[in-house]
Amino acid sequence: MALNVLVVDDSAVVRAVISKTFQLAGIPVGELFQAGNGKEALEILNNNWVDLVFSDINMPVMGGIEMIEKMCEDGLLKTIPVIVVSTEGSTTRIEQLKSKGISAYIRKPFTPELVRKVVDDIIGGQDGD
Amino acid sequence: METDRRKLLSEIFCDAIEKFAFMFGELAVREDLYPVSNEYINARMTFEGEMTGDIAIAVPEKMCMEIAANILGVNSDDEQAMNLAIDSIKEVLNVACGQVLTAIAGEKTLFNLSIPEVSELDASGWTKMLNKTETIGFLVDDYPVLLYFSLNE
Repeated sequence: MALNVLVVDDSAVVRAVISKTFQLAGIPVGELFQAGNGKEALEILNNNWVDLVFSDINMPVMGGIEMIEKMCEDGLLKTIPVIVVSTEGSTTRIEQLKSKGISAYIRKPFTPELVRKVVDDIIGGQDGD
Repeated sequence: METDRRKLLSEIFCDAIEKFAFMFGELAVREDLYPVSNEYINARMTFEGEMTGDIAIAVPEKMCMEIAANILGVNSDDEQAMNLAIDSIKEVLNVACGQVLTAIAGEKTLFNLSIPEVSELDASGWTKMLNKTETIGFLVDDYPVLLYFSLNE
């Protein structure tokens, strides 16, 4: 089943890399949405069906943490798995994000194999529910 | 800057540029780093937490396109690489900053990072950055690169 994916990052090059990684990793993507910050992402989420969100933390206008908090306040949006993709390596930050309900954390730079494994774990987990 | 920190920063930067942009870096002698053009790009960001400070990378403008091309897997004259050239050096800085802070402060320490900002440097700006004691010079695939790292200790 192809997944509708939203990639949220203020860096266009990172959005392009993540998009390319889906192809390299053989992840079937239906519609690919892109947003440059959390505010744009919430608008997309409120108007489209999205199966999976890849998001950076550190972005202008609205960062990833605030976006996740707003998603948690919405009955439907809080069910969408969020994978945080960031350069930060602090375990404290990762724990903070996990407590907010993120599904996984990927540190940049990443490999297609790692992205594939993370997506498989999340989607496989959902299928098994 | 102490020798140990300089060595650590060098290793982390070379590892980050290799993994993220598929380019190979090595420490350079000063003679290899004198300005040869007037077109350089400087990306800079700050961090706050247990330690505060700033980190910057300066590269020749042309190198930004090559970084973007390598990251995207296209030719350096590809339109996409040209459009994303500035974005790519910001992201190299972002990746390097994350790796440096973890290596220096440990995995538990939390930092707030600023959004990377870029500015243009001419030859005199490049030389000014080169002359700072906190700057380390590299050759990355034959391009001169300056890495500046400063802690407000």
